[in-house]
Amino acid sequence: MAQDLTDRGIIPLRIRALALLTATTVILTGCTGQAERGGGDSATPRAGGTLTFATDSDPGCLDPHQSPAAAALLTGRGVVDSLVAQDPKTGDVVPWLAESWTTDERATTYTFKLRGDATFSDGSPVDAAAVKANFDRIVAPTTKSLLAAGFLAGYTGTTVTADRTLEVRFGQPNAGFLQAATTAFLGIQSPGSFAAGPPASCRKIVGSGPFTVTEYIPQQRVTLARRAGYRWAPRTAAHQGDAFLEKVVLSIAPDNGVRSGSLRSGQVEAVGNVTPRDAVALEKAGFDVQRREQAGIAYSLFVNSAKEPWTDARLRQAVAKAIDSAEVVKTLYQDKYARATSVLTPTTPGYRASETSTSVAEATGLLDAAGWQAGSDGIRSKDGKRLSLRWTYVSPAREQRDLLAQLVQQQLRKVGVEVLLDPAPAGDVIRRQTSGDWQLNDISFLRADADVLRTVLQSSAGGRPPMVPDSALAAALAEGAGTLEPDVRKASYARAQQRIAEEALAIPIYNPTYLMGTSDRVRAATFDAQGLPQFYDTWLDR
Amino acid sequence: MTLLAVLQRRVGGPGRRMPPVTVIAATLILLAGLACVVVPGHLAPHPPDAVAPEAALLPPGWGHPLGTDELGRDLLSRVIHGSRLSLLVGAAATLLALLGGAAIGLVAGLFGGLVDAVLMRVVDVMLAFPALLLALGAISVLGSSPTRLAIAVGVSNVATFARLIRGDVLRVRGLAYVTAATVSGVRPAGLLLRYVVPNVCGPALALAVLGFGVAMLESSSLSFLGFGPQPPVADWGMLAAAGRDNLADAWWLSTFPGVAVAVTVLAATIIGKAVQDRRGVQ
Repeated sequence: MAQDLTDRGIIPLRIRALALLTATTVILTGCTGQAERGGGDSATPRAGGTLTFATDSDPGCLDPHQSPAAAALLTGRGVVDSLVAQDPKTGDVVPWLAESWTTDERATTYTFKLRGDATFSDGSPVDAAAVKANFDRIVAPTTKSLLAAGFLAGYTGTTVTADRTLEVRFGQPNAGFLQAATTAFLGIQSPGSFAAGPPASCRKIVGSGPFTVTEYIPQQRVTLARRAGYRWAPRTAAHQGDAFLEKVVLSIAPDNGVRSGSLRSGQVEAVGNVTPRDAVALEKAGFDVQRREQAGIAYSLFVNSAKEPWTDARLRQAVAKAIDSAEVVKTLYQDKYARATSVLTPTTPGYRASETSTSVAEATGLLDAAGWQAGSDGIRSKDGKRLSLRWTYVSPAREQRDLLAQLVQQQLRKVGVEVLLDPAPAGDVIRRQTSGDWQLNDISFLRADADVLRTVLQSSAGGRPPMVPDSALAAALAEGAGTLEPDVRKASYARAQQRIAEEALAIPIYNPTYLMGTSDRVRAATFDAQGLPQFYDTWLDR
Repeated sequence: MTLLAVLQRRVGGPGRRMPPVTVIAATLILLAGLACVVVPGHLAPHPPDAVAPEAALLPPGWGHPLGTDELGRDLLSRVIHGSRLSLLVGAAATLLALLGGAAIGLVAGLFGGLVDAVLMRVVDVMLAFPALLLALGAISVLGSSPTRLAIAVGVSNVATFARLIRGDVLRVRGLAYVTAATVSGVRPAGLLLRYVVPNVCGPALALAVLGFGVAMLESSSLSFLGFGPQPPVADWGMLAAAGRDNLADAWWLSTFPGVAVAVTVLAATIIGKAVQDRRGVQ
């Protein structure tokens, strides 16, 4: 399965395999949040030039229908358009290839009316039949879609009602479909390119976007060339017509030092997935670093509340109070990642601040009250049992999560809680999570909908115990999932987050953030609603 | 050809004797390493896992002679505590290689014939692979922990010892007094213990000292690749690996653990050579 997603990719799907198993409506969409450049955009955009962008991971497969990798989104976004677009600032869904759409009340039937002028780069028209071919292809088992098919959960078929109108039907409510349709995962590709089979699409995709794939050399680079005659940009774009850049070269450089070094030396104009430490150094050297907080579940720790003695809420609360997330983000992330203020990140619709204050004294008080006394080595115990947590985390870790684990271990040691670190390959970690045989666990999860709390924390797919078994939380999340009424959803998700904080069911640490470094020639390098860089509006100054 | 076999040939070959100063310096270094293994708590200025976020990534200076890491942990203390794992794993691996090699070598040398042929072909196959590759394969199967690291590295060096010991056994067996002992009715077991083993011991021990350096180098390499002990405990290889991401702005993180490995391996090699010189073995 796609390693990129968890280990090297931009999308922090720590428990990606679980997600694929359980996510019926995983929606990788960004939403609100600022992504503008600091300044310098007042000048008139200049067409032409080649932008070389160093990215950390090879997409492996360029086709977002098949690949769940963020790298496939990064390349795919410029090549394929979607039915609808999402405004990175407001999160609103706006027309793109579809000029209008309607939904039935139960969110089981979506009717789209396509614009009349869009064509694929191979010359064929973007019509209703082409859209049907795309959705049918995504759910076809032969496509082996790792993520996109999940967005079409319950898909029963598409009916072409006229040349440019179609109906997408689901056997069960799929409220998340419209947002999902804004992503390149459900982007519309030329049906003509499907004939050669899925493996061929991995090497080259054909869409109606402002760029076309001209070259893909695995582990080296993907080259995109501007397509002449592009006239159907969504209104979320800063301009209409052809892209400014003549060519975009996505150069693959997994090593962090190499990426920031190539920006410094002028070999590339922009770099993605900059580490916080490199970001500080780049800013000192006069480069721009833009950050975008991603939507979904913040990087959080979970104490297994189904396992003794952690069924006692006081113990979990003590752990939450003893962990100093401010120290973590300052030490490891130079404050480039913000401290999490809820289990959801602030860019997630439905987010509500629900913080636990750090206090060693309160933590100590709670542990004392629960009857756990410190032994000779400083670790507390009760009835001969040590107060310890085994933490199985993915190794090799990204975003310095291995160091984070060691820092948290020391923080908890101060209040007499022992943490046993157990780095393991991703597969082992997932197996433990699935079997319920875990004590302390860490995840983050990208999805711009508060329903992610239900699909990730409450999932019992495949008979596994839910990660956070709590009836009050389950009730609040079920209420949010059962309605399309915005106010009701908001209230229920606020209750859910409050419940999680009060009971210390999750301990939020930091908000995952995408950092992009650019040279001073690069203008209008912005993020799309996914929180990934997009190049349609980007131009190069002299 | 394993690194150990190469080293054995190079170092063991005819050449200048080691100057005494070099040997003394090497001995002192190994003794210092031994002290670190035995009483790290008394030598290290700080606990190895005490984090101090306000002192993160300090360059070498008075308070922290080797600087600090991302969490503000004192690198000198971590190197001193790391010596225990690095050196013990090296020693355990060497012991394992020596014992395993001795068993194979003695059996092959004493029994000869088909047994010898079969065992030596197996040894040939093992020698054909770089030891590090063998160890990597072994640890991938075994899983990572210091004990398994020692086993993997030890197994990967068995062949070199087996080959050396078998050669010596053959040499000793051909000596007149061994033939005399055989003729006078000494049983094979007695022959082995009284005549063969003492004669084989010298070269094997000299190789063991060399082997210790090589084993440490290999175990550090494997740790560097992530097959080492569990954090926050770290051996030298892990420390060097952990510093990779910050090479540009915190050179000390990878450099000093690397120097510790290099110096120890060098010292072991020098002493190994000196032992060979003294015993007059080649």
